[in-house]
Formats: sequence, structure tokens, C-alpha cells
Amino acid sequence: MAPANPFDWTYLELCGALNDISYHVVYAVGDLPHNLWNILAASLGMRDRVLAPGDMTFHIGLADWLFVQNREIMVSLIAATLLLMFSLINVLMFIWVERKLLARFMDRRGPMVAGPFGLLQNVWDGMKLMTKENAHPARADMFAFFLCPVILVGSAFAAAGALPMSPKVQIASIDLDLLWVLMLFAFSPYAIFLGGWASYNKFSLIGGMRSAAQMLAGEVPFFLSVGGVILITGSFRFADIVAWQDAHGWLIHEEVSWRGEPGHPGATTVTLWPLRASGIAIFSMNIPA
Amino acid sequence: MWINIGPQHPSTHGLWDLRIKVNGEVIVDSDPQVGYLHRSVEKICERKEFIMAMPMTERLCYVANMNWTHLYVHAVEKLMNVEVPDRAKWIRVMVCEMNRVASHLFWLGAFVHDIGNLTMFLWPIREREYVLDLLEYITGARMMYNYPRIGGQVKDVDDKFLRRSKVVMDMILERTFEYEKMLDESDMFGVRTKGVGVIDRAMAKNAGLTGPALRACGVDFDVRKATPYWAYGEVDFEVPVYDEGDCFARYRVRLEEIRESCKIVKQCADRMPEGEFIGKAPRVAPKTYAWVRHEDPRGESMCFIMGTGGKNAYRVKFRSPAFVNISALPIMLLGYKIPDVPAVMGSIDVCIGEVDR
Repeated sequence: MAPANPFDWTYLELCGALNDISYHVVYAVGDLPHNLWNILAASLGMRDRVLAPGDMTFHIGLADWLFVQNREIMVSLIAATLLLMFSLINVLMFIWVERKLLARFMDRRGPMVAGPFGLLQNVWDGMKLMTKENAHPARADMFAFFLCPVILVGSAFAAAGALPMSPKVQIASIDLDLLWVLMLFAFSPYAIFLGGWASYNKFSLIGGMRSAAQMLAGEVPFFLSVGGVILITGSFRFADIVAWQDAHGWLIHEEVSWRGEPGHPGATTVTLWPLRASGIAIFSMNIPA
Repeated sequence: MWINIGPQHPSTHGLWDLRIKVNGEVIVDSDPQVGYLHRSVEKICERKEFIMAMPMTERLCYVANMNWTHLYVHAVEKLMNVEVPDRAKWIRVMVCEMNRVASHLFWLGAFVHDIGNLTMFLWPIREREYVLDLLEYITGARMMYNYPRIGGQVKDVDDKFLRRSKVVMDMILERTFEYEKMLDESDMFGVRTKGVGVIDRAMAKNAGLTGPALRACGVDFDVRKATPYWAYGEVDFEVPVYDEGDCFARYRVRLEEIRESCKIVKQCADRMPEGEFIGKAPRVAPKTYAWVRHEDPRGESMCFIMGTGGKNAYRVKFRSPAFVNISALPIMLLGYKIPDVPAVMGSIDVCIGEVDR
């Protein structure tokens, strides 16, 4: 029985709780399409009654095609939906925290007054984003131009898929988790450069090149500091890294003072670089292209 | 390869176009293109009566419009041989300096924003609000004040305004040290501005550079000191001069000018003489000409005006400091790289309204 206060939980207890939660969530969601289709089919008159849960007797029509013949596709879709929800909510919360901090630094009002705890600022910004005109340069190569955001966003979500949500739930797990994530990160300079190049515009081309160069410049220290993690834990797998932390304590501590030598910048670099990669000016200065 | 920076680039601050010729990333030539905002202000000023033309002169520069209206009014007064009461002179110095503070604060925000420091974009704008509130208190407007009249001011200032402006100026004086800490001690700001956009003393003089951009090149020239007008001869202030001639020196000059202007405003508030705030002025100007020159926040502004013998002017001509400073840009940019362009463009404080007129 875990203590009442979650902050008093040990790491294993926390993992166990998370595992239970995610197991139930996955179970419920795995059952959801069946039930939904069942109800839909019954309401359309294709079936004379709503089947009880577990009563998987139908073998005809779309339901059969979806959940029996193409079960893997459906499971992938559900996993992708889960992943999207998980990472989007994460992104929202992260933006919220960032904007609260920036509002403190800069005397901005919005994130302090919009809604409870300034939570509605993101909603408002999202609405603004939705109503923006989808503008593109007149002579741009449309396919490559719109491929740029797809690659950027896609690689970010794919990287989130490799993150273990609990010891047993991980959307995509391969032996080289960390390398896979680094590879996905390395896509973004290409995407930026591609977008700049595809817009058929000298200005955008130079801007894209400059952005890509800046990202590449940030990747070198990042990769080096990630190398520290691999050396310490001896594995590329996130599950192993987490297990190492479970056994030896937080890795961030080890990175801050590795071999008794304080001031190892690895942890700082790992924390800050993704911010820089997502276009946040971490040192309050940015090189405009 | 020619690249257009503008007319819609965010660091142009208005509608103008800087065409730069690059070899790789190094700028080998540049060509400022102006005229997108031409409204023929001078011609409109000729067609209207003197008093009616004043709102047009405010539209020359929306950031420093108090200075521009006063310049025009000063020229008309000189043309008509109107003597301005003492109190009006001191009020003019005071509001012009407050406007200079607001303008420099706005410039500081825009400049650091151009080179990526968003925090410092919002801080000066926050302080500028206090100055705008003060000016709104006496003029009723936040942007287009229309405050002077030929022979004086439209409204007197009261004790509350004088007291309040001293408090605000003290506060801004204190905050400038915060800005200093934020920018001078920032390595990134130094990298982006120190040694960037250098123009030497002789070249600056030849190019006709004026204002803070000239004083950053080591030339000690300020119209307020060289040919004092109104009460500038009686107030005590210093002219900051730096020798480097780069963007950082231009920033330092403007920052210290904010402090000097704050001091001038405080002196005006302390020593404001009693008396009339507006004198008698005729409606008709003689058929002669007159010209005045002022120290605008951007440099030396001049107004030439010629009377018809009637109620309107025969010729009005403004000399815009920003226009001349823009034409010195190709010299400043030569040999620097593309990322230096926003810093250099920002450092000369362009206001397109007065450039295109």
C-alpha cells in the first residue's frame, strides 16, 4: 500500500502506480472501439441488440474488417491517438509554464490574467493560430514547402513515442532508443532548410540555411552530453536508463557532478538544448536570419 | 546577389527597403530605397494656413511628434517675428525633452528586439507609458499631441504635472541603470553590437550624419549646445560622446541622453517661471523666409519656411535627420554580414514618416 502523499512514494511505487493506471487506460481504450462500433451498428439497425462486452460474435462487415482482419492497423491508430494526446497535453503544459515564467521576466500580463492560473492564454493563442491565413510564397514548390512543417512536427511526435510512459507501456521500443531519438532530432535542420529552399526566395533560402546552421551548432554539445549518459548507464535503451536511475539515483545528479567533479555541464546542456531547438531563445538572444 | 530587406521585413520599422548585395554572407554593397510612405506633407503645409498645417507636421514622426510640431511652430514664429513668453519657452523645453525620453525608450525597445532580446523590448516600453501618461495629462492625447501654438502653448501646465514629472523622471533615471545592467553585461548583446556598423569620424561628417549616430563617432555636436534655442542655454546638461562609432556606442549615447533629458525635465519642473503661457501672434506672415534647426531625437532637424504675405506659406521644407542617416547606411554596412543588418538598421533609429514626408 503506497503512502497517501505521492511525493513520499518511492520510485518503484510510482512506476507501479503509473503502470496500473496506464494498463487500465489501455484496456479501456482497447475495448472502446468494439463497444463504439457495437453501439453504432445497433443504432443503425444492423444488429438487433447491443452486444455485451466480451461477446465478440460479429464477423461481418466493416467491424470485422476493422477489428479482426486489420487489427494491427487499428491498434496502431489507437496508439498514435494516445501518443498525440499525451504529447500535445505535455506541450500545452510546457508552453504554459514557459509563458508564465516569461511573463514574470518581461512584465507581460496575458499569461497571468487569462483564465485560472493563466491557463486560457494557450487556448486563445491556439484560436488565433487557427484563424491565420495559410500564406505561401507565390512560386514555392508546394510539396516541399508544406513537407517542412510535417517533418518538423512528425519527428517531434515520433520522438515522444520512444519515451517510456511506464515500465510496460512504451509506444515504440527498439534497442537503440536514444539513437533513434537523436536521429529524429537531426531531421529538423533538414526540414528548416528544405522549407527555405522550397519557397523560391533568396531571403528564405539564406534564412533557412542560417537556422539550420544554428541548430547544427547546438547539436554538437547536445550529442556530446548525451554521450555522457550512454557511458554512465551503458545502454541506449530508455528502459535501461530509467532502471539505472532507479538503482543509483537521479542521473542528473551524476551529470552535474560526474566522478566527484562538480560543474559538469552535461545536464544543463541536455535540458537547455531542446528548448533552443524548438526556437526558444534560451539566453534571451537569438540570431535573426 | 541582391537581397531585399524590406519593405516588409520586421526590422525595417516602417515601409522602406534596404537592398543589399552580398557575396556569400558578406555585404559588398547596399542601396536604401525610400518613398513608400510619401504623403507630400510639405506641399500640404503650403496649402493650409499656418495653424492648420500643424497637425500635418506631427505626422512626420509619430514617435517624436512633439519635437516636429515645435520645430514648425518655431519656424513660423521666426518668420512672423513673434516673441514667445518665458514660461512657454520652459514648457517647450520640458515637453520636448519628455518626448525625447519617450522616443529613446521606444528606440531602445525596438533596437534590442531587432537583435533578439525580447525582455528588453518590453521594459522600456513599460516606462514609456508613464511619459505618455504625463503628456496625455497636459495635451489630452497619447500620440498626436498638437500641443504648441504660434506664440506659446495651447494649455498651461499645472503644479500636479510638474510634481508628477519629477517623480516619473527619477523613476526612469533609476531604471536606465537596470537597462545598463541588462545590456552592457550581456555578452550576446556585445557580440551583436560591439564593432558592428562602424563608421569613422571623417566619413560620418561627410555623410551628414547627425544626432546620436554622429556623437557616437566622437564628434561633440549637439544643436542644443551649439545654437541654444528657447531655454536650452539656461539648463544644465551634458552631451554624451563616444569614440567607437559602432552600434554599441550609438546605444550608449542614446541611453545617456535619456538620463540627460530626465535631468533637463527635472530642472524645468523646478525652475518653471510664472507668467503667460501664450503670447499674441498675427495670422499673416510677411513675404520673407526663415529657417530654424533643432535637435530632434534622431539628429538635427531643420525647417525652412517662406511666407506669401498671406495666411499660408509659400514654401515649407523639412530636413529629416533620419533621411540623411539612412543614406549613410551603405557606408556602415560595407563588409559586415547579413545578421548585422538588423543591428545596424536599428541603431540609426529610422522613422519612415519623416524620411518620406
